[in-house]
This record gives sequence, structure tokens and C-alpha cells, in this order.
Amino acid sequence: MGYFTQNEVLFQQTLVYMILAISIQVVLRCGVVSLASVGFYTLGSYAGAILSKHGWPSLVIIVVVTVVSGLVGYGFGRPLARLRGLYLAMATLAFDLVLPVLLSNGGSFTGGSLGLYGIPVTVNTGTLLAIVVVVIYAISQLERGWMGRASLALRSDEDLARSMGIRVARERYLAFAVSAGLGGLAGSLSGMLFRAVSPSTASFGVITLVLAMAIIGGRESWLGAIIGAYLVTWLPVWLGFIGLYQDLFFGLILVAVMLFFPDGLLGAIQLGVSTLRLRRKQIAT
Amino acid sequence: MTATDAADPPALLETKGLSVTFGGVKAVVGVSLCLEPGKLYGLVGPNGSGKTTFLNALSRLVRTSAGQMLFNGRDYTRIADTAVASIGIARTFQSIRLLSQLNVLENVQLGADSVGGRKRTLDWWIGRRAAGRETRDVANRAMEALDRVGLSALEKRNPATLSYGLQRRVEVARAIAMKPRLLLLDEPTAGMREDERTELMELSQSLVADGMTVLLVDHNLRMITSISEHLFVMHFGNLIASGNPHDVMRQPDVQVAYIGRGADVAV
Repeated sequence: MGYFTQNEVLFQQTLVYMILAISIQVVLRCGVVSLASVGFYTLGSYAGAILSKHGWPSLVIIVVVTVVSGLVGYGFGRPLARLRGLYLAMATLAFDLVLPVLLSNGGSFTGGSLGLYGIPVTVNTGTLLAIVVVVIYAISQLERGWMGRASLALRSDEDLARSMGIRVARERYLAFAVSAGLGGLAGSLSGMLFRAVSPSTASFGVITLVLAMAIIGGRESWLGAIIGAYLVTWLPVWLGFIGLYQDLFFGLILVAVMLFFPDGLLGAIQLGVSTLRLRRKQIAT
Repeated sequence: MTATDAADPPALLETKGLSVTFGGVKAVVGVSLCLEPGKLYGLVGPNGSGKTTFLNALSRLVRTSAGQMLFNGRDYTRIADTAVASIGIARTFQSIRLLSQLNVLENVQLGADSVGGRKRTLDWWIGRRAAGRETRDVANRAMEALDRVGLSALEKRNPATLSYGLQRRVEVARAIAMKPRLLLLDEPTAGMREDERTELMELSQSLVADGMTVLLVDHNLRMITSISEHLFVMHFGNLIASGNPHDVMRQPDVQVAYIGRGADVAV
């Protein structure tokens, strides 16, 4: 219990990052390189903080912010639907990076460049964990059956997807909407958990951190995002004993994972398991 | 140029003056043809003659610049590309397009999904029973298709580990799983061994025997003239000949297109 209490904030941060990493993994799995969910995370955190300050119940805040983010994300996806790859990444990155500027100039409503402080904590770790479980269940269903196959086809070969009758544009909008909704959800939870929000929530560092989580863990499955979020959040803690060099080691580990495990750690684990099974089969025969 | 005889029996597919242009390039020029149900058609032509573009137009993957396409008497020239599968047209591609993240059965399920398998989105979250039934239906359809091409034993294999010929068969199974009335096969035997080629041709013929219409694009003239009931020849985007395969290959225009002026093609 002592260990948990001591590290509760880190556990909470890990759980919030898990949702945020899934929000990026959902779109990457469909071949949509969108970083917009970090922007929705920022907006969600402010919405959560402001509404919480106004006495709204936490559950209502969570539902409202998630649904509104999803709907805005769906609308956001329409004009961006024609963009692909790096162009889409740049457009969504611009959306993320313009938010700190707007929030810094939002006066007393957004707290200016200092952000908002003294936000009442209305969500506990148990609720947060339950929400993460619900999110994982919902997203795991999206990866099963025809939706899972359709999203892979969408990423690998759009012409093939079209010829198979997969409504490419609709699936892309939906991916945007789900990603934005999850970003907003993670943000609202963050706003209600950590007592303060600031414009730096959508800094370039946060964007690369979240992208690193999805890529290091593996974009094929929600499990990859979970592994990535856990590792990226806790690695600096584990590397604390090397003091000033921890950032350097952290960076090296990230590069090594990306170099040697292009399908992420989940891909490496899956490859290892299938190799082991094959060897056992060969030995048995 | 026309090869239309839509009067009797009724056409399954008919194109009227179909054209496709890319900027200033005329890839398909006013092609009119007619496919009757339950027949195997061949489409040949030298490289760059517009065969694949024509197939892409039929499956709405490229925009047509002029003309009309009718399927079962209904104009589908302007429908969404993603709706082509639902009206009964399936296709394979010139290059192998299997998803290596999925096993053989799942790749074929991608085709089976198109037959009413993508309607119940919310069921995946709230209606487990309906979702389970759908999964079984799709899996059964996919297994039937795999069985049809003789690959049911390889259902769990990763397609990347299969030989080129087997991968082609998986692609055909995926198309069959869509339960199409018209199957467009774009160079399905390219790069295959002779025995694999023969097997695929026999498969095409058996599909036709079951009532499916097949339009087969290929470069192997000897094979295509021996199995198709009707042959179309394209050259520089134009349909230059249509009719009985052996007669068509003797036409001077066709011989010139393939070999050059004054040549004689033996088929």
C-alpha cells in the first residue's frame, strides 16, 4: 500500500497516458497519421478543469467532453480526409501546436500562460482504472471481426479496401472521431486528477512522447499502446539511478526499440511466441 | 468501336462508349462491350493497351470521363466505388494484394465481410449473440470459398509463407467469398508455373460452370484463346476486336497490334 500511495500520481498518469496512447494507436492502425488527439487532450483537460470548477459532476464532465470531442473530431476529419501520411501529420501537428498559443491568450478563462490551478480533484484512481478497462474493452472490439480486418485493409491498401466494399472515407472519419473522443476523455480525466492544467499540455514534447508510446508498444493492437504507455511513463523512474544521463539512456532505448523492433515490442513478443511454437512443433515431429 | 449485342440474352454487364483519360492521356477510348451471364470472357492486348484501366473503370477505382456502365440493366456509372462489391462485381489485382497481418482465412473473410457482414456495428459492443452469429456466417462463407480453391487446409497459414501460385488462389477465394455475379481477374496467372496456371484456369472454368461470369485479363494468348468463349482485344485504349477467340486472333489488326505489320500469329 505504501508503494502504491507513494507512486499514486504516477499510476494515474500511466492510466491517462494509456487512453491517450490508444487514441493515437486507433488512427495509426487505420493508416491515418493523425496527432490531433493530443490537441483534443489539451482541450479536454481545460474543459474538465473549468467544468469541475463550476461544480459539474465528474461523470457528466467525462461523458460530455468525450462525446463533444468525438463529434468535433468527426467534423475535423472531413476537411482533412483528403490528406495522407506526412501531410496529415503536419496538419494535425499544426492544430496541436496552435492551441498553446490560443490558450495562453485566453485571459482569465484559460488562466493565460500559467494555466488553471486549484482544480478540485473529483476522480479517484479506482474510477480511472474502471474507465481504462471500459476503453480497452471497447477498442478491443473494434479490432476484432470485420472492423479489425477493415482497418488493416484501410492502412495497407486503399484500393483493395474500396474493392471489398469498405467505405474508406467513413472509416477514416470514424477513426478520427474515436481518436478525438479518447483524446478528450484522457484530457478531461487529467484536468480532474492533477489539480492544474497549463498550455504546455500540448507541447511538442508531449506529442512525441505519446507518439513514441504507440510506436514503441506497437500500433497493431491496443495492447501495444498499453505496453508503450507503461514503459514510456515508468522508464525515466527506473533510470533515475543514473542521474543526469537518464534522458540520454531513455533516448537510446527508444531508438533501439524502433530500429530492432519496427512492429513495436508487441510485434517482437508475438514473433518470439510464434517462433517458439514453430520450434516446439518441429521438435515434436 | 463496338462489340455489343445486348438484345438476347440479357447482358450482365454492358459498357457504352466508356472512356478514361488521365490529363491528356487517353487510357480507354470509347469502349463498348457486353458480357452475358455465365460465360468466360478473355481480354487481351499489348502492355499499356488499357486493359487494367478498363477493369479499374468497371470496378469504379478510376473515374470515367465519358460513357456508361450498366450492370444487370442498371446504370452504375456514378455509384460510389465502395458500392460496386454490393451490386455483385468482385475483382483481383495485377499484383498480389494479401494482408500479411492476417492469416489465409482472415484474408478471405475480408471478402466475405462484404456480403452483409458490416451492418451491425453496434452489435460488436452490445449484442454479442448477433455478433457471434455474424462471425460464424462470415467464417463459413470464407471456408466455403477456400474449399472451392482447394486451400482449406491452409486456413491458419500466413499468406506470405505460401508460394506465388497459392497466394493467387487465396486472392481468387477472397473474390469468390464476395459471392459476385461478375468476377474480374487481372492477370491472375502472371509469374505462375505451368501447372499452377492450368489449375487456375480450371478453377475459372468451374466458376463459370456454376453460373458466374468471368472476365479474364491475361498475356498468355494460347491459354486465353483455349479457355475463353469470347475474346476482346484492346490496343492503345481502343477495343479493336471482339468475338470467337480463334477468329479474333487471325484478324490483321490484332496481329499488327501484337507482332507488328505483316506478322502471322499462331494460336
